[in-house]
Amino acid sequence: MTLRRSAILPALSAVLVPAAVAMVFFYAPLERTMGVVQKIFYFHLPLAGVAFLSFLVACVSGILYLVRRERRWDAWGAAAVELGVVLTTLVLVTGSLWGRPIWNTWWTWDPRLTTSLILWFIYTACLILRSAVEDEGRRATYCAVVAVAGFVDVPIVFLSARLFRSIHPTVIRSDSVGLEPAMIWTLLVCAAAVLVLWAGLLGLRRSLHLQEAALSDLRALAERAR
Amino acid sequence: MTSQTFVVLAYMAIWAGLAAYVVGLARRQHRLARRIEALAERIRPGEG
Repeated sequence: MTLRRSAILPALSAVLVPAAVAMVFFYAPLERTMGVVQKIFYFHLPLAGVAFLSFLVACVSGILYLVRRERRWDAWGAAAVELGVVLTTLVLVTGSLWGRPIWNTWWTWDPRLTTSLILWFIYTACLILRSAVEDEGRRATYCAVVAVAGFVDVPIVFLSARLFRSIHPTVIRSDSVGLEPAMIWTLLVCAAAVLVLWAGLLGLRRSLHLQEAALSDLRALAERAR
Repeated sequence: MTSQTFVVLAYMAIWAGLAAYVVGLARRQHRLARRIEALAERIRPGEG
């Protein structure tokens, strides 16, 4: 039996996602101080990780588009920004749902939360820009510039809880991981599940963008041929 | 709300959000297929 290349990531996701959720609820031990609410962390952190990865892809493809002016880099950028915004939204929502029982508030202007919200605004602006500009070349150039400039905020978000006074927990430090081995395994499986899902969705969105662009070319050709 | 409720809401938000995104992609793909069919219809009479 041969598995088509396009079916590999969905098939892997179909195995990894249920396994990750099962590990969160049936394998990972209950955290002593936070209790069951800590289980939100197992997906909150990987979602933040792949959101950052999305913006890294958007930044690199933005640079490559500005240098080479090739449509494929714009397609990678468009897919990465859109997915990054979806994932950052989920990170903000799950963070808020964790914060309410732990900090007793849905939102606080903490450096980590504030810089994350700024990141969401920057790349949402990029999405709005993409839908607002008609000309393909201009649209791709503007979006590439925003994607590259916006990436400056990603290291700031990452370092915000370390550099500034922040109430946001820093579980993974350079010298240690503040988790039990069973919790680390659960986190790794969740990270793998989210990463595979991310790769699949990114590929799907990129391919859709390329197909839409190819169709626009064909329509323009058909108009000219009339 | 109990602690369990927050966990359930968080996991529901994650999977509902991702499912909504996948449904959105599927709808865009469907719309694209319809536009391709419409273009093919427009081109066809001129072929022969």
